[in-house]
Amino acid sequence: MNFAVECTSESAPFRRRQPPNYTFRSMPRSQNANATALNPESVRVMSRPRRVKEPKRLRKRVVEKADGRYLIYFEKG
Amino acid sequence: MSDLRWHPLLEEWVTVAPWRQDRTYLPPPDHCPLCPTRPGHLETEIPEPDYHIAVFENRFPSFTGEQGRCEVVCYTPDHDSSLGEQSVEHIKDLIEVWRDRTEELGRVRNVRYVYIFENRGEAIGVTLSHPHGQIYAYPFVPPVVQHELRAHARHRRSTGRCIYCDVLDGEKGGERTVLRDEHWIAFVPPFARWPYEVHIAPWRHRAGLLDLDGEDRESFARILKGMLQKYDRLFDIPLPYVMAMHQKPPGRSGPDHHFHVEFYPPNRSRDRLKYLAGSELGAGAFIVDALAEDTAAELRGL
Repeated sequence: MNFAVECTSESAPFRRRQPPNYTFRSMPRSQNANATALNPESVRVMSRPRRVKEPKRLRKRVVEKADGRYLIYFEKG
Repeated sequence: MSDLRWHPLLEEWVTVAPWRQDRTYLPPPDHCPLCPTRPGHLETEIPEPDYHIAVFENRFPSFTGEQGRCEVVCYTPDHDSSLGEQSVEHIKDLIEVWRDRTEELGRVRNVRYVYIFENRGEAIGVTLSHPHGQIYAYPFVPPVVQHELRAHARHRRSTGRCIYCDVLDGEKGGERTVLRDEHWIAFVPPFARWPYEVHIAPWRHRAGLLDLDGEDRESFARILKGMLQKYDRLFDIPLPYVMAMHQKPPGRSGPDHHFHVEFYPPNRSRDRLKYLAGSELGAGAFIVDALAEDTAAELRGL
């Protein structure tokens, strides 16, 4: 789906001869449900990365300030 | 503690923090509270004579205690530097700091959202010129993110896809690209609300900073630095901007957010600013007097 084409009116004279093909971006809220892609594409495969514990680049040193607030120094390891 | 007041018409929280009226306002460089403490000088927020990156609780917080946290992130001890002037290696260190704070603040009781941002330049309202960013750990999901989450959820229900992945699909042609590599893209979105607004985002679906792998972080650092350098070359001034990191709320499962960073520079030319006025503030409707394709080409060529 190309949101840019759907969102812009650069080809307005051409478009006027066709039914408007708005996206949700330019639709009133009440019509959001009608504003989906006309040609469904194949579902994107979501690659969700595993969170792997990696070695830290920085050392963390927490100190308490006189007024009770914390201060964290991030230092080269 | 701040007073949280509910706006019944907009259905959002307003945070009232009157003590922030007295916060430090544009001190001279030799009284900068974010510089390391120099021998023989008054102690700053950072008592040591040098640091790499430092984070501390804001002295004038909007949220503290049971309500959340407000932190200041000092990027560098060098007062006259900027985020874009840091090395890629230093920015990678900063990304580690942002990840650390995202994880830790996300575990704080009552925190519903961790928002990392930077205000740069007096035109934005910055009160301290030392290069720094901020982190707000809110006790609610802020309205802009709520809007994004709702749009993500609606789009996924109707198409089965991530809405931001689809936005990025529309950028493959490159007409609005400013910078790109295999992992990340910087682009002016077709729906930009500011003349030189830029989003930077990973091509692959990543919900937040904690989901970025080593390659993502390397590329993020390079694209971020490259983008900021272009901004400063745009009008040959340190370009003011707001940098806003949008990531998923802590602890929320599911893929319904796509991490990205939004930049809103207020300049529409070297000497002219875009002000939020009647339409934007009173009606919430942005009027932009620049084409994303043109500003992207201008930034790309720098």
